[in-house]
Amino acid sequence: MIVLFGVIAWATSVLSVLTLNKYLTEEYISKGTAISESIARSAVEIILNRDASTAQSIIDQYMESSGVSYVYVVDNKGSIISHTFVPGIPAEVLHLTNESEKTEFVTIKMKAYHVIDISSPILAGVMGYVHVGMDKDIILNRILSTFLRQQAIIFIIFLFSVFLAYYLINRISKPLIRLTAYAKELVAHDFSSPDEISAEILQLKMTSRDEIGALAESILHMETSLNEYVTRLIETTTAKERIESELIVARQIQMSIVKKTFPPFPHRSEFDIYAVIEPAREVGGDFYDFFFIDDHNLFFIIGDVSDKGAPASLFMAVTRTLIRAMAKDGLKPDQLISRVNQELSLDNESQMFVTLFCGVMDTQTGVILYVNAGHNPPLIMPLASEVTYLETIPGISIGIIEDASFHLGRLVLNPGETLFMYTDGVTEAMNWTDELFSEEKLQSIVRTNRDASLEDLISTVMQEIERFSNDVPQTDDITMLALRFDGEKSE
Amino acid sequence: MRKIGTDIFIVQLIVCVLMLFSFSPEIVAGDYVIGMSAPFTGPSKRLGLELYRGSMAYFHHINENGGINGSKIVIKAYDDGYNPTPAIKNTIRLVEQDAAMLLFNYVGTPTVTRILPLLKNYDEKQIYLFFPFTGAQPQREPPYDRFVFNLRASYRQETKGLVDNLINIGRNRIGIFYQADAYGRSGWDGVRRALSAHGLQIAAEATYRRGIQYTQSLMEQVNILKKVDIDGVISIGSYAACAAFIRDARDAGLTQPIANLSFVGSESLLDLLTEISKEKGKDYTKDLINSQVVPSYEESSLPAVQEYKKLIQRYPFTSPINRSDDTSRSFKPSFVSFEGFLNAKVLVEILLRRTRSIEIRGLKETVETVRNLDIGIESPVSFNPNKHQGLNKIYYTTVKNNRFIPIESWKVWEK
Repeated sequence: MIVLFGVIAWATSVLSVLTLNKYLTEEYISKGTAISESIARSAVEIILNRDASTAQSIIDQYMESSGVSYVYVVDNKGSIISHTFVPGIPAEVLHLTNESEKTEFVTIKMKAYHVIDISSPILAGVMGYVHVGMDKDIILNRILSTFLRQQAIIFIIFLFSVFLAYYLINRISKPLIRLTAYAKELVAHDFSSPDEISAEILQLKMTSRDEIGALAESILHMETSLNEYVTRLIETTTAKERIESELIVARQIQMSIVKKTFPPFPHRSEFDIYAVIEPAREVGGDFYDFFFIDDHNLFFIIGDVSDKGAPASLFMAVTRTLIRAMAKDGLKPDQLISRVNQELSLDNESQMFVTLFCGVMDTQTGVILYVNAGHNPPLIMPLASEVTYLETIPGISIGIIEDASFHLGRLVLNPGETLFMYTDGVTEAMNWTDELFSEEKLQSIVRTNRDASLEDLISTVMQEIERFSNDVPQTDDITMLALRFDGEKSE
Repeated sequence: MRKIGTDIFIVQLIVCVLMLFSFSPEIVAGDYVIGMSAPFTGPSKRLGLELYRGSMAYFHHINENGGINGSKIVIKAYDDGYNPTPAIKNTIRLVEQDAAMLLFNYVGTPTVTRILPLLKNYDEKQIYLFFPFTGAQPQREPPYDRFVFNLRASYRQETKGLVDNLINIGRNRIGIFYQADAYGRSGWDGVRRALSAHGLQIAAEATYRRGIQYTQSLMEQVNILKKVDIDGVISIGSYAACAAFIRDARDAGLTQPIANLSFVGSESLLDLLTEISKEKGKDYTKDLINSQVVPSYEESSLPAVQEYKKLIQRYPFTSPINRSDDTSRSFKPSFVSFEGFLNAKVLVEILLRRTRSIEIRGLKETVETVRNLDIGIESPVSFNPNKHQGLNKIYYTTVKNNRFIPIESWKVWEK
């Protein structure tokens, strides 16, 4: 910036010096010419008729003109007959000759200064010449003084500008620096403890009516917002933590009511049962259950409440309790579900519903009576044929229509054959490209692992689901229940 | 406020008028008012003062003895400091405001040369310049010679005399030191013409600027002349410059004779040289030649010298412009004041002739009829229509025992 300024200053000055030099020189030559020609005209009569002192007193008058360094008159023989030189005639002018009939000028260098010598002929040169020396150093001095004055003015303007710029930048940057520092402090600020707003920044907001004021205001606004936000965040976090701790309790309760100990009936060898439940949130809406309703009839159920979380869990608990209570009454599954449906449908303000597949297996014969209330059909794994989905008559989900009726299905498992039940959390598990795990994939996995133990089968399916979803968060509860009939052991 | 201002002005006016009456010569209607412009300040002021003093001594005597038929002669004098422009202004003032009947005792070539056209301008008023203290040519030649009456011989005559005498004793290579103006040029021209008559040229020349002080160095000029082998120097300047030149020339070992013109004011020059001689213990007054246009006041046999010495002691001198200036209060005779005295004597004779005459004549005609007027210096004064210069004789003097005495023989400087 400074260099640029200097260049501009110099360029301007050099230009004016050149211009000044040109015009002053022209002016000087023109002045000298006027003097020289004027003397030359009057000299005709004086040289012819008058003595040397008259000529001298005429040329002396011109010495009073500024810039005239000398005047001298040369006669036709070339001798100087009148001059103004002190202390003597300088050698430099002795060899100056003008033999033309018009005024001529030439720049000569004297000992200490430069002179523009202008010579005019007297009577066309017949009577001699008048020489007028114009002091060129006066021009140079004037130019120098102009140049110096110009430089001084430019320098003063420059200094003034620098100080002004410094003052203005300081005025802008000082609050900016303060604001920046304040913004940095904000980062380390503990918003959880109440803190008074910086008085300095507040002052800045009040006094500055410009962008700085606006910036201060935004920073203060940001601080206030941050304060509020952090306070709210703390509140919600606290609330969430409370809920979460409650949910953990609820899960514990849920897990405690779901049987998790396998084998559940270690003294029974005519069948095997295995189940797993993996809720999507802390507390799920899925459930399974199994228990003997008499000596050899095993009741089993897998269900899925339409919602998830705590309410679903509660709804599930209610459903399960109702089923448990009513199953002991020796009701067939269809009657049982009808009654549970009736109970749930009454005053079902939450509009929740449950899909379920339940049945009773005669552990002596492998005969299963079952009901499908809007649930995914289970897979059956016959020994002699392919693993297929059980063809059921899917009824309506319970909890919706109070007097709905449910179809009672019958199925016989031969020894070694397995019924594989699951909830839609299995087949509708998703990966990153929103693909579903699908019933086909489930069917194929089960088919591949048909000879594995129930526990291995279920854990394999679980692994496959995990691999498929590839860390996509689980959106639905995943529940699987497998039941194998083994029949009477020959021993 | 305005009232007070006016009052103050009136009081000041009264004071001024009173001062005029108390200090300046009383001017009464019918008096002969004659105008004078001369240096009363500056380096050449002694010329103006001496000239005025010499003239006033005689006028004072005439006025005390009844004047010119009862009319007194009053000099109205203004200072020009030996510069042309003030001289022009003074002349206009003298003619137009003071209604001077004639101009008298102007000092210097550059000043007189420049007022000559003014005299032509005042042609109808018949204003004449009497006896200027300069020997330059312009007022001795057409077209201005008819407006001027000179008493003294010209510079040409002075320089010619000096040159001829120097050549007579074998000093052919003459250098010239002169004032860079009309005066210097006039002397230079005289020297050149005189040399040219002998087929010679000026051997070397150096100049100085008019108005320099005695304290300034003129070594540069001395060196210019010294470079050339010269036999003598003719110096055309004022006493301050010439004294400084002589001082520096002698200091630089230039031992050749140095000749000065009458204008130098011989006593003023001598005073300065005597002083430095005492100071440095070296004789700076040696080998000086001063040409004069009036006889030496040492020649007591001359009636004019006796009268001059008698009257000048009687006259209570004061400077016309500065009454506290006492530089010349103590009387010492001088060539300049003697010239002033003679100028006054001739002018009074002319004025008397004019009043005595039965025919009414112009002043010019009166002067032009003066023939062989004896003013007590042995050389008679004559004018005619073609000759407006009263005297022609040159007197050569040299310094001996701190006094100017006539040169009896030039042989002492023979080469």
